[in-house]
Amino acid sequence: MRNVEVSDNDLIVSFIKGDESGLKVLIDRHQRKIFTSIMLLVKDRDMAEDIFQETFIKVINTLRSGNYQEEGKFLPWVLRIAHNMVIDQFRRGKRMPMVRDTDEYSVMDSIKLTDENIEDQIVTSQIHDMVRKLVDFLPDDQREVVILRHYADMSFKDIAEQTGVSINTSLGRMRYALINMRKLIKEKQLVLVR
Amino acid sequence: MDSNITNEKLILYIYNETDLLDSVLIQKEIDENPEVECEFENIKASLKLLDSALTRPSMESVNKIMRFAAQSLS
Repeated sequence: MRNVEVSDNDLIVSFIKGDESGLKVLIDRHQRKIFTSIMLLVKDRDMAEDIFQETFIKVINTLRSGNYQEEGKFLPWVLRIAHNMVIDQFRRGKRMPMVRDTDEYSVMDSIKLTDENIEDQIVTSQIHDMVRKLVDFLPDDQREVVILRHYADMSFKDIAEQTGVSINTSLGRMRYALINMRKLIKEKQLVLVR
Repeated sequence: MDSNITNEKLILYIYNETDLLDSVLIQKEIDENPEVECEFENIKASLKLLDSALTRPSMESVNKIMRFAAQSLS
């Protein structure tokens, strides 16, 4: 089954009919956006791994029970589940950990381009780490819009509905997030190009 | 920026959330107004940077999910 040719909806139907590979392709296709969104919200790799698993358990249960009604919008639907899981986690009293300079990420992070040499992989990994920290530095409302729009592929209209603000406010937050990121890069004199 | 095209509109345009008429007007402004073009490129560069933060879950997490899926199907 080739990722590029099969729609999310066809993969869902195939999984519901009993073909596990449909789910595997969906995970392969969307795992980076989903996991990065969770990671940026909880700022802790272990907690993000747990929430990622719990999210997909809920996805599987919903699909298997025949209650999935979000045709064509699989990624935003999964992200909404993940987002709610993060909020639940927070409500259960598990504090969101602060990002530490010593945070380490899985070796898998740097294996995305197999033709890169070790030096390139290290640079890629460092850039990727710095960008995550830049996003962490943003005020909560701006970080939320960045995550929901850029990683979760939600439209500004959907973000506005989910967060209870107007579209203009969501757009304004995105605009300020980008301005703040550029300001931070300048202030910290970060070099983020290869 | 000496233009009616705000940064918010440019952001909507980059994310393909403008209608056809707005898209044509915005692209025309980008082509003809160097200030708008510069802002457009800055926003695009910042958004591209965000892609560098993408990361994957561990294989262990994916395997656990697939084991759960197999059980749910059996």
